[in-house]
Amino acid sequence: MCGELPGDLTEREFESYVAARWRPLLRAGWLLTGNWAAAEDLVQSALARVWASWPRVRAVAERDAYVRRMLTNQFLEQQRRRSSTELPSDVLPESPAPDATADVDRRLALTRALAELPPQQRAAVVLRYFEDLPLEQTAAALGCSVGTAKSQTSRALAKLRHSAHIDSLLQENH
Amino acid sequence: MLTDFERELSELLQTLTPEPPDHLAAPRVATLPEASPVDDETTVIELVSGTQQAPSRRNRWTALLAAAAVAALAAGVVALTQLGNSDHKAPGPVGTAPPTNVGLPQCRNSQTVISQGPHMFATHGSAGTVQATYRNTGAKACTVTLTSVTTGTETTGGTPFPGSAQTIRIPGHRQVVLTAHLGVAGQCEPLRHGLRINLIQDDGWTYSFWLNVTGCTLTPQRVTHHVAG
Repeated sequence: MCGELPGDLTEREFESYVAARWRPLLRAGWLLTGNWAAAEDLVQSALARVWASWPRVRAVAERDAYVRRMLTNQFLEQQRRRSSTELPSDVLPESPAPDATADVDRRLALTRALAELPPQQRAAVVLRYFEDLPLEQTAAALGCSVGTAKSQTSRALAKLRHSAHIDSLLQENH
Repeated sequence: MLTDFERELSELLQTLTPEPPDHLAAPRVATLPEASPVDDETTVIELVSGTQQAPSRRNRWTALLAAAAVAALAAGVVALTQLGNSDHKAPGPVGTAPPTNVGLPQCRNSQTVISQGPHMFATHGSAGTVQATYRNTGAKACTVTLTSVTTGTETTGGTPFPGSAQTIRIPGHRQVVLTAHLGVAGQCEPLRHGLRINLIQDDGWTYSFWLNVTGCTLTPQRVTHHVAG
């Protein structure tokens, strides 16, 4: 039932990697999904896939890039499935604890602006401007050509430039 | 070279993305015995955090809506937890020895799919039910043996359903609907996550899902199953 299990060393190595990357991945997941519950699900699903191929992944020089690719793939696949098979149901409060910071509204505006983008454009924006990846690595994470990544990013930027949410955020900054 | 807008957008993303809440701790993975390519719809896996053993398998939970007259209390994003591995038996309470279906093979991981939620915990006065399904994707019948079904806030321990130890026969290409019956006292309120139902298998796997309710006292009564679909 369990198939081939990696040894303890590999397991510890994976756990150590997960511990180090968990929070950055979750933050990226939050930007992609707009809430922590979905972000957690997304990252865990991606990590399960990473674990499945860990013997291969651990040997990859650009391990983070590989994991980003898995996370992006997972997100895009979930979005595709969700569009046809799943009704959004995360209607309950994210947390019973109030967020005392003044950033609540701003964060909401940000997630709403991102939610207006198609999934691939959203992923492109997160990779390019949150992860600060160059176009080549953004394309690698998206699993597309540099040209496609560039056009996805450009389209996303064009939409965000006209987003009332982003506009309000930038005006507050100025 | 970034434009001004790109720089400002980058700054917004960096500064407004919050740090994850502390309760979202990094998962500790003891074993991940199987992680097939994503081939199921709406697959969600939770890796158990902290000191618990790790879950790892992909499954699906199909939302089985209760009868129309039943009040659906909970929705929420479902997280399905699978706990345990072949080397570690989930320490759930064990009921009576499960009956056996002689001659039928045990369902393999790759052969059974558990439906994915949201699970609708439905109440009928002082009674409540929640359903989940095991689907046999293979052509041949197989069995899943539960050592117990429990409810509680964790994936281990909890209060067992009386007589929940059972061996479930799933015909080929069919599914079995499990119904957990609970007594309900007090007013249940929706709460994401909240109490869990844990299906503890004899092979060391525990499938756990949230009822997404709180505020009421739930008394495990029985678990029934029937073949459907």
